[in-house]
Amino acid sequence: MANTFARLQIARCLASSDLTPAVKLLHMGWEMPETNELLNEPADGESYDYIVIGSGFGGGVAAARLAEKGKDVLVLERGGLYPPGGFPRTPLQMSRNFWDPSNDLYGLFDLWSFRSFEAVVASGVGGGSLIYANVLRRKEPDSYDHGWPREITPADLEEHYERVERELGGTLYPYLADDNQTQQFPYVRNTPKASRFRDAAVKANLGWEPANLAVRFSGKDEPVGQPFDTPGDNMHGAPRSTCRLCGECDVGCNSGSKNTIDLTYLSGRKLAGKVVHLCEAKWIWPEGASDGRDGWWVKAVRYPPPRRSRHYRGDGPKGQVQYLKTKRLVLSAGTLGTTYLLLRNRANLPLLSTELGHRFSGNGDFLGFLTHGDNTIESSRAPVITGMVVGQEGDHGHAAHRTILLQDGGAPVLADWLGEAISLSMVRRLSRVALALVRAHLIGAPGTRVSAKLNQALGPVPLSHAFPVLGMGYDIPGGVMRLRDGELAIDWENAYSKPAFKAIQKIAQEMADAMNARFIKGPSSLLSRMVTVHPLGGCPMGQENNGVVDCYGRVRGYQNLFIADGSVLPGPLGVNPSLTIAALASRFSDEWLKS
Amino acid sequence: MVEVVNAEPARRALILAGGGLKVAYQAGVMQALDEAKIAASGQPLAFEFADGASGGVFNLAMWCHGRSGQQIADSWRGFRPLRGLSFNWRHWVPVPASVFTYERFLRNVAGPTGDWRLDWKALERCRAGGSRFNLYNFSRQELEVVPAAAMGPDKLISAVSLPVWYPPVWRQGDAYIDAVYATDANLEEVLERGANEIWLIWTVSQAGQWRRGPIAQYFQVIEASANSRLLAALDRIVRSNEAIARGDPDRAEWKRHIEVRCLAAEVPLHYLFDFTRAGMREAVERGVAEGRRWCRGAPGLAAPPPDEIDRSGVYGPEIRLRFTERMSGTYQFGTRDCVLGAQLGDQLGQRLSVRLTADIDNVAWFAAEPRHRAAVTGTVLWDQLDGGKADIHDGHVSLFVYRRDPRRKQMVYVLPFRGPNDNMFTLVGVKYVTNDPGGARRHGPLRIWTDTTTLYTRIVNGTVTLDPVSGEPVDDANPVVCAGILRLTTPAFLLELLTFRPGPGIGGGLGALAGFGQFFLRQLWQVYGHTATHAEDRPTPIETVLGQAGEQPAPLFAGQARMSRQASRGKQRQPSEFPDWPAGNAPSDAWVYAHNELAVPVSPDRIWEWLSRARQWPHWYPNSWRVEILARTGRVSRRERLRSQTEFNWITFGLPITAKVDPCDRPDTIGWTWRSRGWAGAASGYHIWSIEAQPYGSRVVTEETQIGLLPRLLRPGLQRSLHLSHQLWLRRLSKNAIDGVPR
Repeated sequence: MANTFARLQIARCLASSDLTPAVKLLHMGWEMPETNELLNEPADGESYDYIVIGSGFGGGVAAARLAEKGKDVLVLERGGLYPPGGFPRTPLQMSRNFWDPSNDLYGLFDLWSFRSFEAVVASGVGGGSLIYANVLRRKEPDSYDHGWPREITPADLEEHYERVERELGGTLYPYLADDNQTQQFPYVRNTPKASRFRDAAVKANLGWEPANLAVRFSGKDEPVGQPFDTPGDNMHGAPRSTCRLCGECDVGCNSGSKNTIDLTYLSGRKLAGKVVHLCEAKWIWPEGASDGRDGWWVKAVRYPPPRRSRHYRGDGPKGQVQYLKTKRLVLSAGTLGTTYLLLRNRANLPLLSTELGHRFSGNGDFLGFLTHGDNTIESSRAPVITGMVVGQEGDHGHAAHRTILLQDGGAPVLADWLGEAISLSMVRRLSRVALALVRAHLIGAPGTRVSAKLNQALGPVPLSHAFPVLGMGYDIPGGVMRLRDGELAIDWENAYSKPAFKAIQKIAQEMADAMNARFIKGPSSLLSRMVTVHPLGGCPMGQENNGVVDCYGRVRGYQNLFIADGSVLPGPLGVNPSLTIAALASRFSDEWLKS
Repeated sequence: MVEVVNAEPARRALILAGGGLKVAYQAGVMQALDEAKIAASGQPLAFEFADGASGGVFNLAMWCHGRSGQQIADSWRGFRPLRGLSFNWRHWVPVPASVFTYERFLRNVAGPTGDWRLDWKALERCRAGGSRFNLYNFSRQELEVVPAAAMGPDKLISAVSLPVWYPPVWRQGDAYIDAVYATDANLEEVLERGANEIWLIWTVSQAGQWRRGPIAQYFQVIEASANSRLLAALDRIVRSNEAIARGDPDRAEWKRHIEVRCLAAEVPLHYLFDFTRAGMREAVERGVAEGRRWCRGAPGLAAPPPDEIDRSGVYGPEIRLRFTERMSGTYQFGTRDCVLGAQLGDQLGQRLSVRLTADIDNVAWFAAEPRHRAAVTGTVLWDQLDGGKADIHDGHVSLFVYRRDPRRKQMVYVLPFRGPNDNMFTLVGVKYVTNDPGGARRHGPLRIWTDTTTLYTRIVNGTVTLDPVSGEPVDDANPVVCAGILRLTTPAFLLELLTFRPGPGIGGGLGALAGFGQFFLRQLWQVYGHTATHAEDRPTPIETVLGQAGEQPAPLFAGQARMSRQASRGKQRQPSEFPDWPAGNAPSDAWVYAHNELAVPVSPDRIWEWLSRARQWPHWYPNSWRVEILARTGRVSRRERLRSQTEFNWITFGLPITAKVDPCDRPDTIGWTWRSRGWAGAASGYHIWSIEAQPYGSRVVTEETQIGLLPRLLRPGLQRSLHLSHQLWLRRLSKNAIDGVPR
C-alpha cells in the first residue's frame, strides 16, 4: 500500500528528530485517503441503535461510551479526516483549508461573521479538539449559579471529569524552569514564556496554575519528538510522537502529540468503521409517531472527497444524498451546527421549546496582547497555552466574585516570521545592512563575514515581542440564534460582553504592569467586536419544564432525541469548555443507556 | 330513522316548493337531478309525480313543457329581473291595489311570447300527466289542485299572485292568489296519488331571522306559515313510518313506508326584490353543486362531481381581472390556535408574509360559481425557507364561501408551496366574514374592515383536500406546523386597490371591475346588511323532524376563538378571574379597575425572576421610579427581590406608593395592598399578578383595583391609562423574560 511506504519514511524522519518533520511529511506526499477505505459504507435504510451527528467533544465521547456498551452506533461527521501529518501547511493548502461546501471548500476552519461578532469553529473528524489549545479544566465550583440545572452539581460531574481526563491523558505542562537563567532540561531549550508568565503572576500577587494539557510530552530528560504507541492504535493507523513544542496546536498537530478525540475516543475498537466523514446531516424527522418514539430519519449529504492536487471548482459530482434510520438520534454538531440543524428542521419538530436559539454566549472569550521590550519571550516555542492566572471577577451587583482566567497564548513560529517580513522597521534595517555592505565593498574594507550584520537586522523584531493572552470571563448569555431567510443569524449585543471584558482587562493590566509591558487590547475591543472560539448555548439545559433539553440532554417534547455538545450549556463557564462538554456527554450517555 | 327498503318499486314524486325568486336555486337542482343516473341500471332518474306551489310553478311549468334540467337552469341564468318589473300605477284610487303587476313579466318572460316560451301547447305527456299545480281560490277559500293539462298563462300567474305585491287574478268571479298560505309543498296530494319516495326542494328560509320593518315582516309571515305547514306534514309522515316500522300498520296514516329526501337551503336572494342577474346566477350554480352532492348522497344513485360544473355559455367570453395582495403577520410553532400563535410570535419576532396575485379569468363566472375561486400565484416569505421565500404552486383563494348559512361567510386561502427539503407545505388561511356580536369586535362598519383583513393562518404539512361545493378545506387532518394571524394593513389595502388590472379592452375592463365590485358589495350586504345574530351551527327544523340532526361536518378551524380586541382595549369591564379580593378592594367596590393578560412563550419562573426583582423595574418599566424594598425595621434594605410580606415603596403615575405583599398561598399568584403616601393620601387599592404555567409557556394576568378620592375624580382617563400602562408592563416583562438574563 502506498501509505505503508509513506509511513515508513515518516517514521525514519521522526526518528531523526529533525526540526521540521512536518514539512518533510508533506513533501513525502502523504495523501488523505481518496475514499472511505478505512470505513464501512452505511447502507441506505438500515436502522441503527444510535446515530451521532458530529464527532467532537460531545459526539466523540458519547459515541465511544455507547459503542463500548455494545450499541450499534454510527457517527456522521461533515468534515474530513485529519491524520497526524495530514494538516495543511503550505499557503496553497491553507488557502483552501476552510469549510464552505457551497463553494467546494471542505477544509478545517469554519469561519462565521455575524452582525456584531465573529466565530471560528472546526470541521473535521475530532471536531474542536483538532484546533483547540488542549486545556482541560473543570468548571469552577463557585460558578454553578442560576441557569445551571440544580441536578448537576460539582460532585455529580467529578466522576465524569476524572474519566475524561484519564482518557484524554491530561498532563501538567512539564517544561517550567525554576528561573529563566538555568536550563534544566537537557533536550529542551527553554520555553521562556511559561516561566515569564508564572513569574509575572507571582509578582502581581495573582494565583497561577500550570495548565492541564491533553498532550503527550516526553519525560523531562528525554528528547522531544519521541514516537509512542503503535500506528495501529489509532483510527488513522498513523504514527505519533511526543510534543515538539512547535506552537502549532491551533492549526492542527502534525506530530500526533495532541490527544485529540479522533486519536483517543474514536479510535476505540468498537467504533472501527463506524465513523463516516464528509457526510453532513441536513434534515431530521421522526419516523412513525410524531414524537419520535418509533425512531428517527436522517437525510445526509455525502460530499465527494476533495481533490488536493489541483484546483477543484465544482465541476465534479454533487453531494450524494443518503437516508439513514435510527432508533435514537444524538445531535453533537456543536453550538452553531446543532442549533442551526434544529432551527431548519423546526417544521418537522414543532414541539421544540421556544427557548431554541436562546442563551447563546461566547464564553466571555477575550484576546489581548502584552508587548514586551524583551524579545526573548518567544511565545511560539511551546504549546499554545501553558499556564493560567486564576483571578476573581469584581463585584457586579449580585455576582459574587466568580473565578476567571487569563491564559498565556501563542502562535506558530510562522507568525513570528510573518511579523518579521511585514514590519516596516525590517525594511529599514535590511537597507541599513545593504548600505553597509555596499560601503564596505566600495571603500575596500575587509570583512566578508556578514553574520554580525544580519544579526543586527533580524535581532530586534518588535512584533515577536507581542505576547498574546487569552481571557475567559462571564459574559451575559443573552444572544439569540435565529433563522433569517433560511440562514443562521445571531443577535448579540456588545453590552453582553462588557462585564467579562472589564474583569479580564483589569487582570491583564496587572500582569502587564508586572511584566513591564504594555497591554494592548486585541480585536475584541478595538473594533468593539467579539471574536469567539467558544460559542455556547442555543439549546440550553433547564429544569422542570424549562430549556430545550433537560439535565440529561434529552430534548423536551420528544423521545429518543438527544443533544450532547456545547449548545446545551446555559451560560458561560468561565473556563475552557472542552472538558465540561466531554464530561456532560459522558454523564448524558450513561443516562441514555439506562433507559 | 330506520331505513326500510320498500318491496315495491320506487314511485318518485318531485316537489317543487315555492320561495319567490329563490326558485332559481331549485332550477339548478333540477339540472343536477337530470344528470343523475341510477347506478345499477344506468337509467335516468324518473319522477312519476310532481307538485308545484307558489314560485315552484315556473319550474314545474318548464318541466311539463319537456325542458331538460339544463334548459330550465339556463332560463334562470338568463333571466333579467328588470324585464319583468312593472308597477301598478293604474289602480291607485281609492286604495292601492298592489305595488306591482305581472303585466310585463307575462309579456316578456313567462307568457307565450316571453323568454321562457311557456305556450302550454306541446306538453310532455308523462310529465304533464303526473304534475299538479296549487292554486288558491280566495273567494271560495279553497285550495285547488290543477293538472297541467288544465293550466294556462293566466292560471300560472294566479299561482304566484302574492297579496300586497301583486293583484289577484280574477276568473269567473273568483279571486285567485298565491297558495303559499295554504301550502307551499303539497305532500299530502302526491301521497294520496300513491307516491312512496318524495324528493323535496325547499328554498324558504328556515333560519328564523327576525328583521324589523313591515316589508321584512311580511315575508317572515310567509316563512312562518310555509314552514309550519311543511313541518306538520313531515311529522305526520315520520309518525306513519314509525308505525309501519313498529309493525303496527293500522295506526299508520299511509300504508307504506315513505322515503323523504329533502334538500333545503338558505338561498341568498330576496323573495321578490332582487334585481341583479348575478344574484340569480349565483343561486342557480349553487343549486347545481348542492344538487349533485344531494344525488350522490342518495343510495343507489350516481351523479357527476359537484366541483366540476361546466361553465354555461351564458357567461360569455373571458373577462379577466387580476389584483395583488400583501399580508404579513406573526406565527408560532407547535400550536393550532391562531390567536395564541400570533400573540406568541409577536413577542418572539417570528414573522410570516405572503405576496399573492389573484387571477380571475371570467369575472361573471367567478361571481356565480359556488366556490368563487381565483387562481393565485406569488411568494410566501418565511424564515424556514431557503432564501426566506418560496413560490406558490397552484394556489387559490375562494372569496365569500359558506357552508349552509349565507350570513356566515369565509374567505379561504389555500397556498401550497415547496419547502427546502422538497416537501410540500400548504398555507391555509381563513377570514371570517360574519356579523356576530359575540366576539365583541369593533362595532359597525369597522367590523367589516377587521373581518376582511384578518387572516387566521396555519401552515400544514402536505396538501389539503377541499370541499367540492364550498371550496373550503374539508378537515384538519394535516399536521399543523405553525399557526398565526396575517393582516392586511391600510396602506397595503390602498396599494391593492391600485393593482386591479382588468382584461383588455375598455368595455371589458370596466365590466370586470364593475362585476367584481358588485359581487364584493353584494356579499358584504348579505352578511352585514341585517342585524347581528349569534353564530350557531344548529340543525334546521326539517332536519330535526326527519331525525337527521348532527350530520354536518365540523367547520374549518373549529373552536378557533376569534380576536377580541374590545376587551384588550380596556373599554369593557372584564369580570375578574380571582375570587378572593381583600374586603373593600374588590372590583365591584373599586372606582378604577384594570385587567390585563398576555400569553408569553417562556416558563413562569423565568418571568418571575424579572418581576420579583422590583428594584430593577425602573430600568425597563417606564412608569416606575425609585423602587425601594424596606426591611422590617422600615429602613431601606438592599434586598433585590419581592417575597411574601415584603414592604416596598415606589412611584408610579407620579404618585408615591407604599405597598405590602400579601402572604401567598397560591404558588403562582402574588398580590399586594397599596396606598399612596404623603399629601396625595387619597388612593389605595390592590394589585394581583398571576403567572400560570401553560403548554405554550405561561399566561400572565395582572389586575388592579383603585379606590379613594383620586381614582374617583380621575376615573375616565385613569381607567384607560391604567390599562395601557399595565399592557406596557406586560410587554416589557415578556421581552425581558424572552431575551434577557437578569444581571
